[in-house]
Amino acid sequence: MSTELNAPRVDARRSDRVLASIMIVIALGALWFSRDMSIMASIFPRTIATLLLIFSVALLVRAFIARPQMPKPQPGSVGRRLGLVGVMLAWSFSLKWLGFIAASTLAAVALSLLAHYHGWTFKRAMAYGLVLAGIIAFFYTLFAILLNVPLPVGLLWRDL
Amino acid sequence: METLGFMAAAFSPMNLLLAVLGVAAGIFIGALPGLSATMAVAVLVPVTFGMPTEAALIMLGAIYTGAIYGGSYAAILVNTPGTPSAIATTFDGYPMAQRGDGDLAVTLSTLSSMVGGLVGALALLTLAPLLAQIALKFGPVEYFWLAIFGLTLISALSEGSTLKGFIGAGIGLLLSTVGVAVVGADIRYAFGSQFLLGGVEIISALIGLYCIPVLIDLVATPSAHLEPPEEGRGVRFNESLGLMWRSKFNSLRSAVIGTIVAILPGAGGSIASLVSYSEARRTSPRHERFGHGEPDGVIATESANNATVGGGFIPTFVLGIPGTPPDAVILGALLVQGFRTGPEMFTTNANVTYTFIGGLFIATLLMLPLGLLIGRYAFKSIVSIPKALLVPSIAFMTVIGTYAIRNNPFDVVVMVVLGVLGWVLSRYGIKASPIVLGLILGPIAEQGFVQGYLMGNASGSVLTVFFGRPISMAIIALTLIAVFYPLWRARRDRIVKNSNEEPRHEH
Repeated sequence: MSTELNAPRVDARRSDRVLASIMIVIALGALWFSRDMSIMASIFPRTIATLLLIFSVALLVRAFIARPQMPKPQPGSVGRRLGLVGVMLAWSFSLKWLGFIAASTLAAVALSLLAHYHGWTFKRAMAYGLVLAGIIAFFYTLFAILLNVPLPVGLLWRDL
Repeated sequence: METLGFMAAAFSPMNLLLAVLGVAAGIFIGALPGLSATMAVAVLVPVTFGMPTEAALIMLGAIYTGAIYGGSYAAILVNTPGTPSAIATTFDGYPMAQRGDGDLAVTLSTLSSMVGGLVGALALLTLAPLLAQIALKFGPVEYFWLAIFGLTLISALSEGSTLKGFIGAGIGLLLSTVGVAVVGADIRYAFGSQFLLGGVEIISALIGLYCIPVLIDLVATPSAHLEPPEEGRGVRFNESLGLMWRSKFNSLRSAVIGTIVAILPGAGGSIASLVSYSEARRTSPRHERFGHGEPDGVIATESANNATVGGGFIPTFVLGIPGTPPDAVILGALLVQGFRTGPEMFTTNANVTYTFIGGLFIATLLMLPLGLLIGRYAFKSIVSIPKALLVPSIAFMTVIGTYAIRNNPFDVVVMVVLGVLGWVLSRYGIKASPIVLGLILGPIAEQGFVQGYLMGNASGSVLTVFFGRPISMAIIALTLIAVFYPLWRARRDRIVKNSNEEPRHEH
């Protein structure tokens, strides 16, 4: 387990170099884009970007002169991870168009399929489907009806 | 005697019922990622408008107390702090839950929250006017250094290298500058996007950075989310009492730190638990276990963050300056009820104030039975839910919780993007906590920094303004200790370890 005291560690030289390089680019970008700001508005982001630049250069130097280590990242299925990211992004972008209920139902089904590693039976699919429908109904009632949060109804359905 | 009489008024059946309802509602709302204590209080304020002032305040105080405590559930069981003040609870609470000690962590959190809450309420009862004077001595520069102190602490405390912690804090601070500038009102880093004008919403970022990486790793393997607890060991109350007794000084010290830090308006809540955690780790004989599921870590943070409830009311009542965001909402409710804050809260309106403090004591005590009951089922259900239901349920809460903050679908997009970014950064050794705290403390730090800079320019010496004031100097000293003490301690441990190993090599 990653939380154990003696969790396996890996060489971090390569990953630290990559991280430091990206951070240097971000810090330089933050400095570049602060050119047109007033002094009052730019002094803080410039100071932070300069500090970020210094820390990133220090990390880069350390990655060349020392042998830094870091905890071994958790292994697992890349496909399912990418799938989850795709579903979450699609869900967040489609809320406005499909509306809360339709987008959430589709996303919940997709996420359930992604997270399930065993075989599907009709009984299990029905049970999971009912539980997910119950969860969506509960939160819809809590937010839309009790807390009066105007959940998106979906631009697509409005025009129909 | 008169004070006791006012406090006893809180024990009326109606007030007791309101306190029970408030604590239960607070725990429930606080436990849901995305629904903060501020939101819990804000959403339920209208319910109290028709009530007598004492009853309204008791209910709001109970909701606030319950929500701050409830934030620990999500921190321990899902690695997502329900409220920013529960960030440090994830450090040891989640590792405890991962190894099957989630029940112990929740019970410890309940007991510590109760101790912290009682100390905070006691300070409110006895020391309010005195402590409020300390808050008045903090100017913009002191707030700037306080924010830097908080960021230094979290960078040094985060698992992994301190350098990466500082880079994480830098990312958070830069993210906090997106949108309209705190001073000067320029539009910064919005790249022409209308949605970025409002900046990165803190709670959305908090949910994304903590929750999305958990979800990404949950679907990656078929193994269980948390180790299931052993059968028939209940809530492990006696074991928790034993651990609390062992850590009694840790718990009390953390509660006192929480109370004192909370009197500083704005910055208090999120820094209090970090300072307590840092102190607990520094003084603990088991300091190397912190961050890997050490019960003392949970005790320190939870004692501190519930002490901020009572502590935060001190500047709210005495000075009219809300100590924490939920205090601001409660202050609004007080104004609606026709009350003015200030010294008269403890003289002319003493009946209302002391009845409220009595209600706060009741709410804090009620956390024990209610928390143990709810916590037991929360842990069991999280452990027993299959991943195919757990993943969509958590994802659902993150999406709806984020959307509900500003009713803006773009916040959901930002939450997901930041979450994915957080997962990638965690693979490179940068944890979520420094980024989130950078985002939270960024505006406080910037305001203090720019105002201090202007004051320095006006007086002719910027350096004197930043480095010449006693409180600033004390905070700078603490910041330096926070950076260098862990390095010194690690070096000392290494020398001791080497000297212990040397005689063995000689044989």
